[in-house]
Amino acid sequence: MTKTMVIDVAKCTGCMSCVVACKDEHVGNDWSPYAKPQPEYGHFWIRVDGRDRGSVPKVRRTYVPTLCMHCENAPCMAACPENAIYRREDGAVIIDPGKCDGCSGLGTGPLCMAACPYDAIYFNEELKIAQKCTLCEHLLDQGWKEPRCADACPTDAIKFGDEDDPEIRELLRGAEALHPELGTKPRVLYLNLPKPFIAGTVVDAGRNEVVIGARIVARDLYTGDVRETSTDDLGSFWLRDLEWNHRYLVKVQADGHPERILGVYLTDRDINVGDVML
Amino acid sequence: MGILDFYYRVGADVTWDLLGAAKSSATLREASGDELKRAKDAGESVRVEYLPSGLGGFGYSPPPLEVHVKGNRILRVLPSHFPNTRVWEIKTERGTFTRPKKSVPHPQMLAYKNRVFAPTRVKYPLKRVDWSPDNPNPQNRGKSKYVRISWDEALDIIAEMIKRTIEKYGDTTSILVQGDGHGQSGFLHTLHFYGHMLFDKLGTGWTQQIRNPDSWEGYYWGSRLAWGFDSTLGEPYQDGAWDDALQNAEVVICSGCDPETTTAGFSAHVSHLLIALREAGVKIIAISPDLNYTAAVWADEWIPINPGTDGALYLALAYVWIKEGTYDREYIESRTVGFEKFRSHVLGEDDGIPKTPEWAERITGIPSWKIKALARMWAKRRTSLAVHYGGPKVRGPYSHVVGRLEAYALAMQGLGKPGRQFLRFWMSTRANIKELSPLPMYPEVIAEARSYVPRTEYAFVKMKPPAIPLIKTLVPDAILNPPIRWQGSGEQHSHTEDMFEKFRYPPTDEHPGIRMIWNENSCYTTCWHGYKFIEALRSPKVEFHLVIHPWLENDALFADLILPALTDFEVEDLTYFARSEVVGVAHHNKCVEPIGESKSDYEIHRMIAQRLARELGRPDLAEAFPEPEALLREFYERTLAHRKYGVSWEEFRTRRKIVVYDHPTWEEWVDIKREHGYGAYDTFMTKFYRGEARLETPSGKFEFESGMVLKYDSDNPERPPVARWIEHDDLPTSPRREKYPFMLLSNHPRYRFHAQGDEIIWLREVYKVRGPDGYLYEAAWINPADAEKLGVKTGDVVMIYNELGAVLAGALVTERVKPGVVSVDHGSRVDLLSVDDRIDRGGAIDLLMPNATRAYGPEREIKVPEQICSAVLVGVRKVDLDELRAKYPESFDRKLHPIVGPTLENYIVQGGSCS
Repeated sequence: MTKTMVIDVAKCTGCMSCVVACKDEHVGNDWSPYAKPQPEYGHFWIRVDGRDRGSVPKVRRTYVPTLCMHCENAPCMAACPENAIYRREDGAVIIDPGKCDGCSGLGTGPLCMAACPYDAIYFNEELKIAQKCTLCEHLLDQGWKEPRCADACPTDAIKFGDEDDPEIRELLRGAEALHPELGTKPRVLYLNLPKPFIAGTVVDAGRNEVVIGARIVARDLYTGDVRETSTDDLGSFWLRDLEWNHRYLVKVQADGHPERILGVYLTDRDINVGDVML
Repeated sequence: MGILDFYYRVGADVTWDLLGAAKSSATLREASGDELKRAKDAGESVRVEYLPSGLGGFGYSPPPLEVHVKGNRILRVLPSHFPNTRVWEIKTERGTFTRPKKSVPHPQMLAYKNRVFAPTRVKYPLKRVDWSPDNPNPQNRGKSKYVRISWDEALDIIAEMIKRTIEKYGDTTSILVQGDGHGQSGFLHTLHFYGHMLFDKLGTGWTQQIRNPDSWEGYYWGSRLAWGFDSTLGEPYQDGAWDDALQNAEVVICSGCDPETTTAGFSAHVSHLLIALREAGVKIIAISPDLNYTAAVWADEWIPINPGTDGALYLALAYVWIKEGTYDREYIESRTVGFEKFRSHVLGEDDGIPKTPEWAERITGIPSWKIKALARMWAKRRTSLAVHYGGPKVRGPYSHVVGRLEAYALAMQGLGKPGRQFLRFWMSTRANIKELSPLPMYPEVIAEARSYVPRTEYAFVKMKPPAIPLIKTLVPDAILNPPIRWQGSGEQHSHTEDMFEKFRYPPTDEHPGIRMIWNENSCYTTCWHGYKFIEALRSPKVEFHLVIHPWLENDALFADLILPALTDFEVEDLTYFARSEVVGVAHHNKCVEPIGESKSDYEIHRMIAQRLARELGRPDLAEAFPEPEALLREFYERTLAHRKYGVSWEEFRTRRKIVVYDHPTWEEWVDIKREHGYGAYDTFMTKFYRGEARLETPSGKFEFESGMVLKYDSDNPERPPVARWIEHDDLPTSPRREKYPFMLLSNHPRYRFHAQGDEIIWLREVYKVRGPDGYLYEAAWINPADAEKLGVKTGDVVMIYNELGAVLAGALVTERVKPGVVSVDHGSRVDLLSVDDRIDRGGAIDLLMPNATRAYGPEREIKVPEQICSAVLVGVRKVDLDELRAKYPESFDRKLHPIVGPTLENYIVQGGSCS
């Protein structure tokens, strides 16, 4: 009976319903022994990290709801000097508000906060304890099916359930961790995490017209993979889902024009090559 | 006066014949269903209440919040779930589409605890410390603070001021009542209109402020001339619209529209419709100065355009279609009138200026090659245009021109042809349809689920004399520059001919004009050319300014007397939901005791009526405001839930049922459509396209040349018979741009509802920009290229200014806005550094908006008294906070709430604490 959360980033619109629902559940409500009340402001047990991508007019915005990952290999647990952080049978990682003393004697601030690579732990100044997402276990233990953030999501971008549930199992097939390289084995996994794009518009400068159907060829100079697309009705092209931090050689091939090499682009960010004037 | 007099029959054009068309069904859910189980699971003695989930007002809501209450404490606020309700399905060749069995409201509704317990709540009646009937000190409105008084004293003052008005001026027509528009959406208690009703019952008249069409100005003042649609606010009927879109559309152009923001705030989230469009393979193109919240996640392409210049784009599209012969000639010939004159204008035969893509590029900022490509795509692919009401394009100067030219463009491509529709994301049927819903619904539910509402028509229908109409957009001029003359009452559901009706205020030279303001919304300053309104509110002509509002904000800062209204959570009421296609009725008890001595809007007016009844010897006034439960029962017993499904009031109230009406199955829906003469994927406009329906224009056809204008106002260059390009002072091509180089875009806010909800802590800490001084500023979106020129980075404080004054905002440097444009959402709370210097720290951007008299001059008749709330020219510069702190120490040295900013305490006289 291991619980997991799968967040489909492609369905997140940044509406902040999850953020507000989490605060509605936890601010001013004492759910001991699961959690003490969250302060009126300043904590985001779930937050939505938004990122602008590209440049005018090839711009998208991606939102990544981020919360405690309930890691199987949780750095916070390893760091806690009071053994106040425990893992439940269902996999949830909980800071015991009765045991946590905010590392008050150490003069360091809570060590779990410093240990968490996802910045998911907050310090409650008033109660002098570290706090974070509990997956609303106080509700799940009473028979609720999902935590408040999932309940409040208008697009069901946040799905929660048992790992053995067929629907969850299906979702998990394509899911990945945020920063898997850290090796913390999160129980919160993601679908459609943003991957970089190279976009632009192809224009026949002489005719002052967009070029429709021009071929855009991008060669990944690290792997040799070739990605292709063509310009649409508006002369636009989008090479999506490229690899981060690879280098791509990009060319434009359009009927009646010599091949144009646009250059080599490093995908450390999303790229708008601008208007390619042939 | 009986209880029946309290009600207004809605949907008058929906006939009883429809009832036979298909039987409805309803989910008769008891609170012993899933919710109560969940509530019980969560702990003993938790009760479930169903609260309104929107701030659209007018007595109806999106599907209700599910509120868990323990004792006198709001435990949690959940979205609406209706797991047992049958929801619509649209079956197409591209797949079957449906909606989720939950309705998630705007996040501010889930954060409603923040509003109920806001530190800005008005807890007691408050009087401006230096106001008295004999010594009003109007010059101190906006400057001096408030003291607590008793309800008794407050009622004395109101009765005294009304009696004085009658003695001094002979009647009460010098009292301007602003009671309209948006607000909390309880059925009875939190409505805005009771001031109108009070003076109507008093019988000695009042000045009725008529609410202008504030979010769809261009459609109201412009598009109606081309296609009518008076009953649907100037936008084409939505009957069956989404069946066609999902079956046939290849492209949907979101023209400035942002349903993730606007529809979510009005009707709860509709992301499922955008997901459906994408799953159907529809390409979504966004045309807007900003990459708005919908475009940022759902659009395939963003075409940035200069604010308010969409008219030039439409003219250039028409130019390409004419030159290339790619418009629907047959449609133009058979379904429209006056095209030749428009064609002549497009080609420049009348003014020497061909409206080429190159011409439009200079105005719109869109490269001419992209305009040509868009024109060809639009002609080649089945393209629909989508709005909520309207985006920024129809909310700026001369938006009526934009509205008409957009309609022309749609007509040239055969509006109504399969896949070529005008789509609205708002699903409420109330002001949307002719006879059938936009998504599958039973006609019986449309006609009868919400047959009666309280007399909200006071809030948007022009009343008969002795009421004197005054359009909201001209209120400041009516006070400052009387007499004023204009055309068009602004009444929302008026016939197009109303646009040509002539008005004057005051009605005669002898009339005293506005002497008292009865303000039930407290949002003049945040929604309508605010600095001018502030000047008017501070005029010595205004002897008394009464504000009735739950929060001390905005207009209340300029009040003489403030009465503490309350929130829906503090009263028993009905939640009647029909702002989306999920329709039903629910009941809620009081969740918490009223904050302080606050009372509902209804109770406040009832108390005033009772006081006047006593003092004027008019018992009928008291009777006009019956006991609330009697009204709730009466309404409830008129719903289908009672009449058809037999749930008694007592049962409904005590066992707290919620009734949600099912949607028909697809097969039932196809039958319903067939019975009304519609094919499965037909819309109303499809019928027009086929020649089976007429429009409400004089010719019954689409009118490039308006028969109405020809008849009533044929030689007016501001509004000619055929819409044409009009240069004006707020275009990017205007010489004023040398002084004011930025184009200001102001949208409906993503995390507020107009001016409502700006005090919500949990959202403010997400979207406001914290300045170096720690103050949370409203965000000003600035493109990185402009930011570099201005020397600002995210978090810096900028001043946005024009001739009217200045507003401070927190820079948010982003690629989501095109260069040359600064974007600040409207509705942030007013927090003036100085009334005299006209400088605001709160970011209430509508303070900077001009009104129509700027273009016309106050002495001339105003032909189109439009509201301007976007697309004007401004200057932007980085501010030196130290300089401002030195100049305005009082504002900077106040003790503020770290997230909310100014609170009640900041406006109370020392020693007069209201804690």
